[in-house]
Amino acid sequence: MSFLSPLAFAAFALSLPLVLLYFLKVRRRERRISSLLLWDAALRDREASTFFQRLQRDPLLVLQILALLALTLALARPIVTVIGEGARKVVVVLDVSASMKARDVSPSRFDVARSDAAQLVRRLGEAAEVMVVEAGVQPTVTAALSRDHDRALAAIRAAYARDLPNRLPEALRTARALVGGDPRAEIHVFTDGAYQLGSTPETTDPRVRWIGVGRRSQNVGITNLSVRKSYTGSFDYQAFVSLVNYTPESQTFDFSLEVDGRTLAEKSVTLEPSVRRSVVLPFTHNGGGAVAARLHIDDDLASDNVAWAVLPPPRKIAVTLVSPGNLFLEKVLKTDPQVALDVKTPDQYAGGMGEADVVVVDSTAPPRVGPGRFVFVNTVPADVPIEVLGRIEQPTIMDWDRQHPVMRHVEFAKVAIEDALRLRPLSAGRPLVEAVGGPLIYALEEQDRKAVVIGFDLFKTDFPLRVAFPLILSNTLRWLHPAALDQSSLQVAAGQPILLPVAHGIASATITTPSGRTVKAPITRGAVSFTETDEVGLYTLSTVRGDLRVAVNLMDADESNLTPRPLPAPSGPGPQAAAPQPVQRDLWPFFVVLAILLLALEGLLYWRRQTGGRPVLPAGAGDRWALALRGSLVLLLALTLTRPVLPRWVDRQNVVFLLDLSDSVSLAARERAYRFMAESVRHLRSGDRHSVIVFGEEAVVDQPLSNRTGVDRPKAQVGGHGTNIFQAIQLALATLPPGHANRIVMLTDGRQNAGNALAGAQAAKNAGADIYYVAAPLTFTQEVVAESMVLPQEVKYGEPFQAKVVVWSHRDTQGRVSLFRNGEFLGSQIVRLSAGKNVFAYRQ
Amino acid sequence: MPTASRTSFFTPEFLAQLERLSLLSRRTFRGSIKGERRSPRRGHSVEFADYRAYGHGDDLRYVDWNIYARLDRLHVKLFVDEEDLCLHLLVDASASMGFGAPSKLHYATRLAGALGFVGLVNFERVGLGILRERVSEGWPPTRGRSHVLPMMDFLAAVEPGGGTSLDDGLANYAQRARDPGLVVVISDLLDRAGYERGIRALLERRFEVHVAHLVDPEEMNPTLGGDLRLIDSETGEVRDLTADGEALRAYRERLRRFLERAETFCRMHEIGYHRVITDTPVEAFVVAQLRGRMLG
Repeated sequence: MSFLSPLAFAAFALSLPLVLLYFLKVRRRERRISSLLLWDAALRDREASTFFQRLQRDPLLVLQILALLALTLALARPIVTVIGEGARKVVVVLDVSASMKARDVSPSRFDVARSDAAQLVRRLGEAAEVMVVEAGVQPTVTAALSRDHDRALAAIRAAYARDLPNRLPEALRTARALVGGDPRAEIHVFTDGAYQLGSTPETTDPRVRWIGVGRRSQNVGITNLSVRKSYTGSFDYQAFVSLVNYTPESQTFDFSLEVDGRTLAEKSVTLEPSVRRSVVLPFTHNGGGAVAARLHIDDDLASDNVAWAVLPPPRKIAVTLVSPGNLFLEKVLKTDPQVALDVKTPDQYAGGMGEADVVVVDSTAPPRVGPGRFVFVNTVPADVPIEVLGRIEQPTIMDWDRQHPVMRHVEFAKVAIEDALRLRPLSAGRPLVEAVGGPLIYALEEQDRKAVVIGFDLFKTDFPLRVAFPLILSNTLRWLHPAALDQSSLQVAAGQPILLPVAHGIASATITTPSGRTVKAPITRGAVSFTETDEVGLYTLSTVRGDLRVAVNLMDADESNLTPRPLPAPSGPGPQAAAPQPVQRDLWPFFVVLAILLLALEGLLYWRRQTGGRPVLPAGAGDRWALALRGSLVLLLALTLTRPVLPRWVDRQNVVFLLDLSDSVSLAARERAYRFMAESVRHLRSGDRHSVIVFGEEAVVDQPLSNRTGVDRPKAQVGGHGTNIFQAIQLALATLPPGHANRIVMLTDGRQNAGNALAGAQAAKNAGADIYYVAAPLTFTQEVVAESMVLPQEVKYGEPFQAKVVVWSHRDTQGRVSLFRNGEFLGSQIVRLSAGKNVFAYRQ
Repeated sequence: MPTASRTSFFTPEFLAQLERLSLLSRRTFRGSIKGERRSPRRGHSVEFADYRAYGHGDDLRYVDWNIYARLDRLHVKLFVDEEDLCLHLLVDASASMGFGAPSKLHYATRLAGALGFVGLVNFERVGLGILRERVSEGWPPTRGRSHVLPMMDFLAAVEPGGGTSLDDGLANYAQRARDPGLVVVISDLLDRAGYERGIRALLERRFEVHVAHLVDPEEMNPTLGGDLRLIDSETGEVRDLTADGEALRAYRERLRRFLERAETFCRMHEIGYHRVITDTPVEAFVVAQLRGRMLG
């Protein structure tokens, strides 16, 4: 046995004053009694004159000194070093998806998985390190890798099943990244297997052990609910509901559709095994309610027996059109049933939003528009950070964004434009339609201004005559202002982020979850986001402009189908037998328990002495205080056994460096990134911790979170053919302890080609981690990229067409373009390339 | 305030109950006044007792002429004589009697009042003696209902104080008493010198002795605790004591022996011994314990 803090033995010197206290004469309370005849002095009182005799007879002092000794020993932190068996590295991955809520095993699959996991941790030897990962919306490390099994057990106990689709692959990937290539590691996955596992490196890793719970599938679920406005017939709305029976027998149950608690329709449905039935229910409603579809059946999984949809409240968008007269715009805006249009001439408008929700400015340049929501057509006001560099004659449309909400269902292929503004955006945003020479339509997203800039005159194009025009305008209005959101935007699947535009002027929003938790939702660039949608039901978004409800549904056929699929058997040999390792075992709790026992015995004796053995409080106030002091001391000591933790504000932060090691980042850029990182680490304060994650196709922890003073050159190997920023952020979030000041520093060229970095960033924002971006600029001095080839979507048979080749070059140079069709060489040409994008058209 | 004390002494219901009781005596005593109690002497009541041969000087009115006619001898009819009984109530009023809530003395005076009331309403003579170091105050044996209230007032005015010397006090009283009769010693018997000599003196004067031994519940089961300095109320003696379980056990043992001694002594001398814990109401003690043993 050795002692970690032997200085604490000095505390035993307290026994001296303790003994000295006994020299003090006892102050006795005077008490008149009828007669002393029956009272005889006890032996101790008669002998009180001689001190040492008295000490011998006073067990209290002996007990007090023994308790003090035990406490001193505890304070000295005694430890014994034992050879701990089973030096393993165990990662417990808990599947928290909705199917784990199934009650086919008692009390539920998740409870069984949890107790299995707890059992596994309890069986582990002392030397084993444990980590707990929850496969939630984002994989979360709830207990970091350590030998503290109690903490791991507490994390397992605290876990609960969510209403989420299966997210195991991400969690497995994170777990594997966190243990690295350690062959001793074991990843135990506690899941029900109610999904199809693909054959990925995650599932075939021999270190992964699958522990399945779940017996059967006894579930009927709603796999789809959508409500849409119907413009024909006598009903306003139609609800479309899909029900699936995943039980082996046919099921008969009641199904009802409610709007705001009022039952609209109720019918009995019989479903054969493994049959999906879709029901269409028309109903009349004025809008602005919440539709709930319910199955009245007692099956194993309750989460999918109800689905919600929100009918958007009937609100209008106030649009101000500032134009010297534009028939197209006026006509389109007037046709939109949700638009309340106000037309102004240019001299009536002096900037600002006025009462409008969206201002459309056409072919006129007010000196200042200020913050708000705008559509600029053929004009750029002076205070908008877009530079007009002149005009482009007959711009060639190269590409358009097909994912952006504004461009939904929009086809831009055959639009002809006579001339357009040559725009150069100076602020964040996205080009929606790009032509050679700059963007034609640009979505500008500033902190307090959102705008869509259409950089050409509507009278000098055939665009207003195409279907795309009303579509783009209608989409734009809904992107700029939430009033006209349709039902599908107010309904998200569990685990998907809620991402909604907010009206101009709203700075803060709170989201109330179905269980009543209230969370502050961040608003950036006119959109509110909330990612923790791990509970089905109605979420309420509250802003100063009123409340908006959003439905979150499971509606995942994979989760509703509870049938446990066979889990992969351990493919390789098990982890190597672990060598025994010395483990230090803390002994202080034993000494604290001993001190508690001694003090409790001493207190009991004292109490008996003061009351003569009767179960009452002592008469004297001093005696009561003495007894209370003893009681509180025992209580305090007992409390230390629970190892209480005091949260403390500390001024330190955790920094994770995400290092892009994909092939697009040159060696020089990597070196520069490393130097930047080393320099940053040098400037960290002493309490700050840092870690390094490198990523390419996948992300790997290169240097775990620590407060070392230096940083090493990254040694981990990652595939260079991809850039998966999302995975890197996810891994960073998993390693960062929640509640700390966390910072993620990305050193990347930003060219992602896998994953969704935006979703990762959103999750980081919700987790309170700041993301800093250090651009790793391309350092290739000579780089030419054949970016794309634009072909018309349809041509008539035999009709000649233009094949446009878009080439990006780093600097002015020359190159050869060769054209092939189905591998057959068509021809080649030496071309001059100027810095930036170049388009070459070839007639075919 | 004697009046207040007097009125608070007993309830009318209890007094009515007491009126139905009378003093019981195992022996008959020679009284001095005609009373309602059978006397060892033959007298002039209407109840026939015996015959006796006529002697010179006997009242001719008591000659039984029927006997003379039958036997030709003169016999005198003897009748039972009825005399009163003298009840002596000796109340210990030493300082130790002032303890308890209510105090033992209060209890003692109430008990004395109840017994005195029974005596007076039955036309007995009732005398009172207050015991301190010696019998200092007293109430000579008197008779008649009219003395009930003055007696109560007298009792209510008794205050605890002074030391105890039961031996001297009782012996003194025994010597002075003109009419031995029923004597009830109401005391806590807490006297270092003892009480046996005094009681023997009473017995020698042919008193019929009853001892009402008052014990305070606190004395029976002390609630003392902690480090104490005990002060004797009578002698002022001081003793340091840590009242832990050991001390209390020793106390209980001594108390048990003390009570046992009193009881054994009384049994050996045919003395009526009545122990009462003073949390028992006087009424209950009188009705339940004394009735049948001292009161009939």
